Amino acid sequence: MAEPVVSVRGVAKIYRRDSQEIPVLENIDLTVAPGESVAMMGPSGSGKTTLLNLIAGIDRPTRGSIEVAGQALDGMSERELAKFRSRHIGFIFQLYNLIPVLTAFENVELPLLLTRLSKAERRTHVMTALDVVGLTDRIAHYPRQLSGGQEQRVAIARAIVTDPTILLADEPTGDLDKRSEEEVLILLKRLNREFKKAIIMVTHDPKAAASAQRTVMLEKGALVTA
Amino acid sequence: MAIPLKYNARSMWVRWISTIMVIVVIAGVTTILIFWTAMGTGLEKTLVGTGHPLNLIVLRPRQTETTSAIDRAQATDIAALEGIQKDARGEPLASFELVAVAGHLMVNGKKSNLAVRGIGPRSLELRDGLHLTAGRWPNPGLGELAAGKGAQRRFKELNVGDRPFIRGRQWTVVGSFEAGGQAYESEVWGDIEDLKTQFKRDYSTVIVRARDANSMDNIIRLIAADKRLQLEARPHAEYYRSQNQSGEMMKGIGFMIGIVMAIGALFGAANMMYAAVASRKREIATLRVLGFGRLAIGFSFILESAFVGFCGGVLGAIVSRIFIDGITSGTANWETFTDLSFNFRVTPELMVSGVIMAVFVGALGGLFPAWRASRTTIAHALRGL
Amino acid sequence: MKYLRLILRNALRNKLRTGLTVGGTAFLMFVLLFISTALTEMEAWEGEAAKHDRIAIQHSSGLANPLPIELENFLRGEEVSRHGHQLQKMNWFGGWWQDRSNWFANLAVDHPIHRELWSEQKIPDDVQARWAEVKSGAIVGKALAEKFGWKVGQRISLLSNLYSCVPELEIVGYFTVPSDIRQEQQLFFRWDYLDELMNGRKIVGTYWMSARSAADVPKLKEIIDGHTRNSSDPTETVTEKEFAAQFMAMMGNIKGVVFFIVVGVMLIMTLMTANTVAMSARERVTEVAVLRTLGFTQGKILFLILTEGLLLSLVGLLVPLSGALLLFNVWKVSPNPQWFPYFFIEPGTIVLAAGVALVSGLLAASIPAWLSARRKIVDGLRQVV
Repeated sequence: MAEPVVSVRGVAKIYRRDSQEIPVLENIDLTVAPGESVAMMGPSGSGKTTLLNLIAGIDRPTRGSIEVAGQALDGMSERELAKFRSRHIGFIFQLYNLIPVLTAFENVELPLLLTRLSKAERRTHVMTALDVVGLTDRIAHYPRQLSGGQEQRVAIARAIVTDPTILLADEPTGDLDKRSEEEVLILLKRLNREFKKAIIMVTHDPKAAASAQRTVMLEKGALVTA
Repeated sequence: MAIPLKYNARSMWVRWISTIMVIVVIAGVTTILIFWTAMGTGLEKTLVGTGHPLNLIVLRPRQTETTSAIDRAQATDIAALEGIQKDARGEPLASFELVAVAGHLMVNGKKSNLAVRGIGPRSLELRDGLHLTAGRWPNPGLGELAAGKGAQRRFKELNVGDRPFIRGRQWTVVGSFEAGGQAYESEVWGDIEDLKTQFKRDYSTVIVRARDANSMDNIIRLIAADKRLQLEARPHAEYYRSQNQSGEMMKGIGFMIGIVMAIGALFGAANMMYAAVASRKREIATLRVLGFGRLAIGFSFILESAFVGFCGGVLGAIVSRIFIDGITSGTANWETFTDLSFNFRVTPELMVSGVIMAVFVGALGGLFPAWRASRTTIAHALRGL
Repeated sequence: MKYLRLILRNALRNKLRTGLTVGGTAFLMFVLLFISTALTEMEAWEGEAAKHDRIAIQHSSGLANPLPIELENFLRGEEVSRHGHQLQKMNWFGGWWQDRSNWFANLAVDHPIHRELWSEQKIPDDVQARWAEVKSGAIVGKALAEKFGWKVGQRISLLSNLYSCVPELEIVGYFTVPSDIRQEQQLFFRWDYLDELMNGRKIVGTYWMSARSAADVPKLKEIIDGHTRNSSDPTETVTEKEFAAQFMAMMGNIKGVVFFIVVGVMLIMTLMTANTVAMSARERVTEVAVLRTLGFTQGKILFLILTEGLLLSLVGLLVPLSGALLLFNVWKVSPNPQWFPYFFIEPGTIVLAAGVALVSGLLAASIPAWLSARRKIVDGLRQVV
C-alpha cells in the first residue's frame, strides 16, 4: 500500500475540567489510504468529532501521534498547525459556518487569502470550485439568501478551493432536508471518486455512511472496527 | 403595573462588563466636568466675595491698585469726607495703602508676580475674616512681612522665619495670615511707610467704610465730582468682582466642553442599552405576554440606563472629591498681573450637579433603546430572532 | 489590502452600534481638538520667537517695574554693540478703545528702529515716513484695523488701566505680517509721544534688541545683567521665546490641565470603543474558530480585530476633524475673539489627534483581540451560533 494519508497511532484524549478527568478517546489506531473515503459512526459522545478535530489539527491529543500527508502533527506550533491546515485540510461543518457578511464568492475565496495568489488567480480557483459544486449563478448572494443545501455546497467549495490533501466533514448532512442531503452526498462521492480526494466523514446517518468506501465504529472512545 | 426592578437589576449584572465600561465612561465625563467647574468656581470664590459690602476703594480712574498713585494730601482729603464711618474715638475708618508688584520665584521653579501690600493701622479693621495663623503682624521700620496662606503655598521663601529677597532688599517674614479664601491670601503685607520708602512710591489706594448704602453712593458722587482730586471710588466688592474675567471664561469653556463630552457619553450609554434590548428580546416578549404594558417596559429600560448614569455620576463625584478638591493652584490676575492663588473647590452642590447631569445623560441615552424595547412585537421576539 | 473587505463588513455588521460608537468618539475627539488648539494658540508666540534672535531686557523684579533711561546709553555702548544691535524702547500700554471689551495689544515704541528689529512686520516706506512726521501717529496691523473698521487718518484715543494718560492717536497706515498673521493684531505708537504725555518722566517698560547671532545671546545676558546686578534696578535679559513663556507660566499650569483633559478624553474614548469591539468579538466566537480552522493563524486573528478597533477610532477622528477644520480654519470661528483672535487647527494638533486615535483604537481592541486569538479552536466551535 502507498504511504497512508492519515496515520493515527495510540491516540488518547482526556479533558480536564476542574479536577475531574474525562476520557473521550482511548488508544485509537487508524490509517486512511490516499483517495479513500471513510465514514466514522457511533453514538453521540463516542468521541468521533473529537477524533476528527485531532486529525484536522484543531485540537491536540493527550497521548499518541498523528501524521497527515506525511507530516507529524505532534511537535507543531500553533502557527505551523495553521499553515498545515491551510495547505492540507478542507473542513466541512454541520452548520456550514459561512461568514455571514461575505458573499458566496468571498466565502470561497477566504482560504485563498492566506496564499500568495493574485486576485485574478484567486478568482479562477474560486470559480472552478463553485463550478464543481454547481453554484456559479449565486456567487453574489449572502448566506442568508441561500437555502441550507446551497450554503453547505458553498462550504464544500470553500473546503476544496485550496486543493487540500484530505476533506474532513463533521455531520455534513445533519442539518439538511432529504433532497439537499442527497445532493451533498453525491457531491462528496464525486469529489472522492472523480477527484481522488480522501474523505473522512463523521455521521450518525447510515445512508451517508453507505456512500463511503469504509466505515469505522467508535464507541465510548474506542474503535470497535478499524 | 410597573416591572419589578429586580428584573432590571439582575439583567444588568449579567452584562456587567459592558455596564461597568459605560459607568466608567460616564464617571470620566463627570469628573472632567467637575474638574473644570471646580477650577472656575475656585477662581471665582477668591474674587467674588472679597471686599466688605460697605467698603469703597479709591484709586486713579481706571487704574488698579498696582498702578494707581495717591498722595498724602489727597488721601487725607478723602478720609475727611462726609459719610465715612467713624470708630469709637471718632476717627474715620479709612486706610491708606500701597500695592507693589515684585517678581518672585514660585515653588514650581518658574517666576511670577507677587503682590506686596503696605498696610496701616486700619487695614485689618476694614477687612473681614482675616486672622493671624502664626507669628505676628509686621512692625514698622524693620523690613518685616506677614505672608498670606495662598502666597506661601505658591511662592518660595515666604514661611515664617524666611528672609526673602524682594525688590532689591532682604525682608523677614514674621507672620502668616489667612482670610477665608479671599484674594488677600495671595498677598504679602508689610508696613506702609516701609514700602513707601523702599519702593519710592506714593500711596496707591485709599479704602474707606461708608456708614450705610446711601452714604456709599454719596461718597462715590462726591469723589467723582471733585475735579481737583482726579480719583474714582468703587465699591470694594465690585472692584474685585470685575477682575474675574478669567474665571468667567473658564466657566464658559468648561460648560461647552462639558456639553460636548456629555453627548459623547450619551452615545456610549445608548450603545449599551441597544445591546441590552437586543439581547433580551425574548424576555421582553415574555413579560408582555405576562401582561406588562409597553409603557412599563420602556420606562423600566429608561430607569435602568438612568441608574447606570447615576452610578457613573456618583463614582465621578467621589473621585473628584477625593482627588480634585483642595488642589491649590493659581493664575495671573489679568488686571494686576499678580498671582492669585485659589483652591479647586468640589462643593457638595457641585457633586450633586454632576450626579444629576450623569443621570440625565444615562436616561437620555436610554430613551431610544427603551422606545425600541417597548415596540417589540411579541410574536417577532418569541420566534427567537 | 485583501482583508479590508472582511474587516469593514464586520465593523458595519451592526450599523447602529458602529454609528453610535463613532458618533460618541467624534464628540470626544472634538473636545480634544479644541483644547489642543487652545494650547497651541497660547504657545504660538513662543514658536514664532524661535525664528529670530531677539532679546528683551526687563526689570528682574518683573515687568511691572520700569527701567531707568540711563541704561540706554550702556546698551548702545561698545561692549554691548559687539554682540547686539537694533536697540528699541518698548512700553506695553495695555489700553482699549472705547469699551473694555475692545482690548488689544497696543505698545509705545521707538519708531525709527522698529522696521529693522521687527523685520517680519512689513511697513511700507510711505507709512514709515508719515509715522516719523506725526508725533501722535500709530501704525496698525491690517487685520486689527479691519476688525475695528479703522481707516488711515482716523483719530482714536486709548484708555488704559496701567497709565493715567489718554493718548490721542492718528492712524498713519497699516502693516502686514505675511509670515505670522497673529502679529497683525497689534498697534504701535511712538515712545516719545507717550513720554511727552507722562511729562518727560522717561519711564521705560522694556528694552528690546537683536543679538548679532544665536551665540551672542548668552554673552549679552552676561554683559547686561552683570552690569546692572548691583544697581538699584537690576535686570533680567531673556530671549523672546523666554519672554513669551513668562506669560504662559503666569497663567498657571495650562499644560498640566490640557494634558489631564487629553488623557481623560483618550481613556473615555478607548473605553467606549473597547465596549463595542468586545461586543462584536463576543458575537463572532464561532466565526473566529472557523477562520482558524481554515488556517488563519492567531496572529492574523489578532491583526483583524486590532485593525477593526483602529478603523473605528480613525473614522471617529475624521468626522470631527473635518468639522473642526471647517469651523475654525475655513469659517474662522473663534470661541472667544478677544482672547483668541486666531483659532486655527495646526498640523501639530492633527498629528496629536491621529496619535490619540491610533493608540485608543489599538488599546480598545487589544483585550478582545487577545482573548479571541487565544481561545481554543474547539471551544470556539462548540459555541452555539
